[in-house]
Amino acid sequence: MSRLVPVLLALCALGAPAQATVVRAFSLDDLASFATQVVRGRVLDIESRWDDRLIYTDVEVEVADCLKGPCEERVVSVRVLGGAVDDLVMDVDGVARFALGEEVLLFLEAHPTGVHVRTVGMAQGKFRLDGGRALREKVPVRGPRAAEARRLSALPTAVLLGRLRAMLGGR
Amino acid sequence: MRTVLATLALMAISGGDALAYGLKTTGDGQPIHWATMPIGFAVDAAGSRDLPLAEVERSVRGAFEAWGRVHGSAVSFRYDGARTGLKLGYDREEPDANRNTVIWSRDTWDFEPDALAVTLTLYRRSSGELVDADIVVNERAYTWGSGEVENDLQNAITHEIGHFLGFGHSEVRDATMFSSAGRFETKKRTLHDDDESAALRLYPSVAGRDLSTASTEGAAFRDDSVPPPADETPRGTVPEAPPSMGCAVARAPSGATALLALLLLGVRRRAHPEVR
Repeated sequence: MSRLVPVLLALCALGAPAQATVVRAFSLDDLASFATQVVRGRVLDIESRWDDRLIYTDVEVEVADCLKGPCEERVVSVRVLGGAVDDLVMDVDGVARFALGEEVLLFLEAHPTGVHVRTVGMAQGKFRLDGGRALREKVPVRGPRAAEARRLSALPTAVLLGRLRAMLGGR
Repeated sequence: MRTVLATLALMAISGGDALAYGLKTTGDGQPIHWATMPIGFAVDAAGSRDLPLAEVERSVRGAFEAWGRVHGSAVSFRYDGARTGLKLGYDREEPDANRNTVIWSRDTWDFEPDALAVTLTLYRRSSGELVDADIVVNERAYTWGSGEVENDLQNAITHEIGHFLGFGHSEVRDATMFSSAGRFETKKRTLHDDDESAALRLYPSVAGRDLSTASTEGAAFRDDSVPPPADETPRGTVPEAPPSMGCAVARAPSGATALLALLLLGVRRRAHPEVR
């Protein structure tokens, strides 16, 4: 019984809520291919601001490890649509959410601004590295890679990084 | 005992028939909601590349109507027409000029390229009150249609309106607010009991006054009687409303969760008989 309770709790956790717009599912190979930059780092700063009619949040990430280039910059600026300014919050389903100080693995592509980058596949392109695991928000996805994408959501960090290095090293 | 545990595990995985909707909340737990009814919305008069404007309006209005006719819920909408000059987002200088919109993005799509549609909501952090919501449909990457087509517009919009109202995703596979949408799917056009439960919980009728009855009779789903501003002239024919026309996530208690809680309580009572 004592061994079954954690299993049941875990099963219930699998049904935890998600907030996201439905997007095409990306496998790890897809993420690595579509990303122009793959980095591991720590969130240094988060700032939200109005840009005309929309709120954007710029997230500064200090790069600890660059797995796919360009790798010249020690800090990358990730732009996310949505955020909070004063009493107003713009919420967009499916975007990656960040917290100050968290360690992350990011699959990044150019943002239309040309100045910033954004995560590939909305929240699919962001993993929070915590306690030896690479955790990802549950992203509603569809398409032939959906099952594979869901399996990526809570791998041991070492396993994920190992697979990723093997993929990127072969290119 | 093992049979009970296996059943619980199965329910936890499948969601079963338990209610499992999600309500979005502010950081301090207040539900994100609309404070006044009816909620206005307008449709981009430029319409869709793939569908005539009349069909777009029929699909979009049908989607709003599904939420507006939940018996016992106060949710109601006001159709402000098909308009030109609609913009995504919120004008802080002229708050009264803002409209909740359903618009198409054809040539540019600044969001995730593979997203079907995106809903942006703006709410007050202090109260959770929604002040603006827009739905953007990705027409750059997807072809839209009505009925037995790969991407049914009404199916997608009905789901997005759930977010527009402040709902998160449901764990019930047949619910409109279930997170995945298959190709050629139309079932989300019709609300599941779980979706209706969410509407009833977040927007109950006020003091016994059944506003949903009004919505089915047009009072809560009516065209704006106020003439639009000059730069937002309604265009095209607005079809008659079909007959009988509507962060964190707080989750409805599911049967599996409740049973598991009882089971764990039972276990704890055996281990610690003083627990009541």
